[in-house]
Amino acid sequence: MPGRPRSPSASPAAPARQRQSPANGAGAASTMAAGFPLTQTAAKGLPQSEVEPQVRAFHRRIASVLAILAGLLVVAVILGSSIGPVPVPFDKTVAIVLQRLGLDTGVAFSAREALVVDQVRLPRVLTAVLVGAALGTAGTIMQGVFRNPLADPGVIGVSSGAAVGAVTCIALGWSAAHRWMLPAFAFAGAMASIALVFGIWASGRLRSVSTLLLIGIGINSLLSAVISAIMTLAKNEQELRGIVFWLQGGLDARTWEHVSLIALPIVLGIALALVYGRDMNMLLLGEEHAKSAGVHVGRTRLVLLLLASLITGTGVAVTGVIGFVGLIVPHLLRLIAGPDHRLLLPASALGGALFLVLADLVSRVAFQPHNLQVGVVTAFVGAPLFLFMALRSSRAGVH
Amino acid sequence: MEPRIAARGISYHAGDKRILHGVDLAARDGEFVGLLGPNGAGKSTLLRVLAGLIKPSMGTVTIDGDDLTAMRPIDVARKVAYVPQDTHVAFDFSVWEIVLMGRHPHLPRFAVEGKRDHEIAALAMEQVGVRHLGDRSITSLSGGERQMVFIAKALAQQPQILLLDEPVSALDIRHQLHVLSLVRSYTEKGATAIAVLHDLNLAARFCHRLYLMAEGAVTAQGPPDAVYTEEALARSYRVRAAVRYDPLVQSTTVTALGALEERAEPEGLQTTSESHENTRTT
Repeated sequence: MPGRPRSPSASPAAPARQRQSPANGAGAASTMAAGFPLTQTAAKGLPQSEVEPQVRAFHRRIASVLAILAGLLVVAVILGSSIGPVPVPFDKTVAIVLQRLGLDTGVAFSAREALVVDQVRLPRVLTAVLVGAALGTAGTIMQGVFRNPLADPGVIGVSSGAAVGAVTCIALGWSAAHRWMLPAFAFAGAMASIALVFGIWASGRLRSVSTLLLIGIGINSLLSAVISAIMTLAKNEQELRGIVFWLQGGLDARTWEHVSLIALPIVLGIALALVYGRDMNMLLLGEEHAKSAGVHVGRTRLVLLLLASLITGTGVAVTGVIGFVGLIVPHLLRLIAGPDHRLLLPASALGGALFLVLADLVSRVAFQPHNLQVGVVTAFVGAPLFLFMALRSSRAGVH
Repeated sequence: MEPRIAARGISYHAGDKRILHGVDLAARDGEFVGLLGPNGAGKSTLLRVLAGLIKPSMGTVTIDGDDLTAMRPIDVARKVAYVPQDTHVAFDFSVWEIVLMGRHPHLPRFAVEGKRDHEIAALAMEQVGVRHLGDRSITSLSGGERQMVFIAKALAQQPQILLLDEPVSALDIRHQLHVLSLVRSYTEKGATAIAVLHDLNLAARFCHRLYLMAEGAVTAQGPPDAVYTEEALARSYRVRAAVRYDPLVQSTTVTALGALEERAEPEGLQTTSESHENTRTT
């Protein structure tokens, strides 16, 4: 992984410091003979060779970080589809995946291997890819919009809303009625809580993001109380177990139908969010900076928050609450790739996908034959990583 | 000549508190205008109204004759750059990245900064004197260095109007002179600059025209030597001050002698007026 290539202008050929003669206003001004050109843009006196490599360095940084993450993600997908109770060699896994894409590699594999990879593992892994990408992107958006590195995709209540929806569905015994019942309830819960949070925000007098953050915290604790209340009312052990499992987040028994259900909203949501990369950079500097740079602050924020909530709600609806992905991935990538959101947004989509696929793999193999819930693994891996980064970044002066 | 930027009858209320009332201000091309006044006089609020960051409760701001509130933010940003007082940044951007952000209003949505943008940013950094900081993280800089980086960002925006909120408050004297003469030279090339300043002497040296404010209103305006009178300074700042002409820097100089008691006006003014007469005649 490359570090963060800064521009090359720190070379020893640093510009000579400008001399400033003390004089009266007019006199001092006239010493600045090379004033800043208002309309013409030719940068006199600056060798072009200094600037040219910088432009290329930026493109190279974007391309290399994204290529490396995409490469790692492909490897992780193959690993995740190969490893399990029925081991399938990597070359056969690749052949099966390629065959699905219509490419014949000539590598032989059995029907059973094809079934395990194609029907059991691949949909599960791709669900992890989509949900991880959604959580990574949504985490980056939330941290950026709130200018708070502790924000995560659920910070304004999407995840707890989904949880209330899902828990209600299970407690009413409706989750068995149809397999889409649970995700539908979860998604409805997510959207209802967003509507509630934004409704309260809009009705308030002070419509600042810190108010929104406080409303989110308030709604989150209210909804977790609701969940606890429903759990106490659970009729039997099995129902309680169902609720706990959903709250821990899992990828078991996810099918191609799950994948196709969430693919469009998540891919579309992420693609739209990428459009706002540069606006997000401006927002990070602060509201006044962004506004004076020409960003339509209120509208941009609202669009970004809605997009983040939509993709989070979609993802959480099919997997349950998976914590730490949306918190940890933006942090980690900010350390590696820097805070420029034109790179950070796509990088955290890829990084979130990578993290969740690997966490899912660990959850399956760590305590065989038992499966851990993937949300448990993300917390196990995420929490120490988070502590490490918190210490590291406070040393670097990033708060 | 039509003013480049004009504010008419600006009032601004924050809750029940009246921050500005009935402020008129105009600045033409080639003018460096200073906003002066005691803490809480409404200078920064006025600047933020001029930048379109807050909507006045009453009154209008026009830029090239267009109503500011009716303009799209991006169109405002192509003409107006604003440097706030608070330049704290929580995220680890490099100085280069920050200055390049000044190019934002000039770039199409999907474009990344090209060679030309880098050249403009490089020149702005060169002029402000922060080129050597290019690869440093903004979070590692001192307050003064950060302030200069944000001025470079504003210059990279290539605005016709430059609005600066206490641009030299965190700078050492050498850099204060440098930044103010840079802004002055920028206006001499035809731009308009309006800056909130606290140093009366630097304001007199570098600004073409000053607005003296107190309690949300303009109490005096005009060229420095007309604005700086003992009476005006006593009214605005509640200080007893001596106003002289300093031949060394060829500009008006103010020396604050002491704070005025609330009801001590007549005596205080009397003595300073005399000293003024003396210095003027010498």
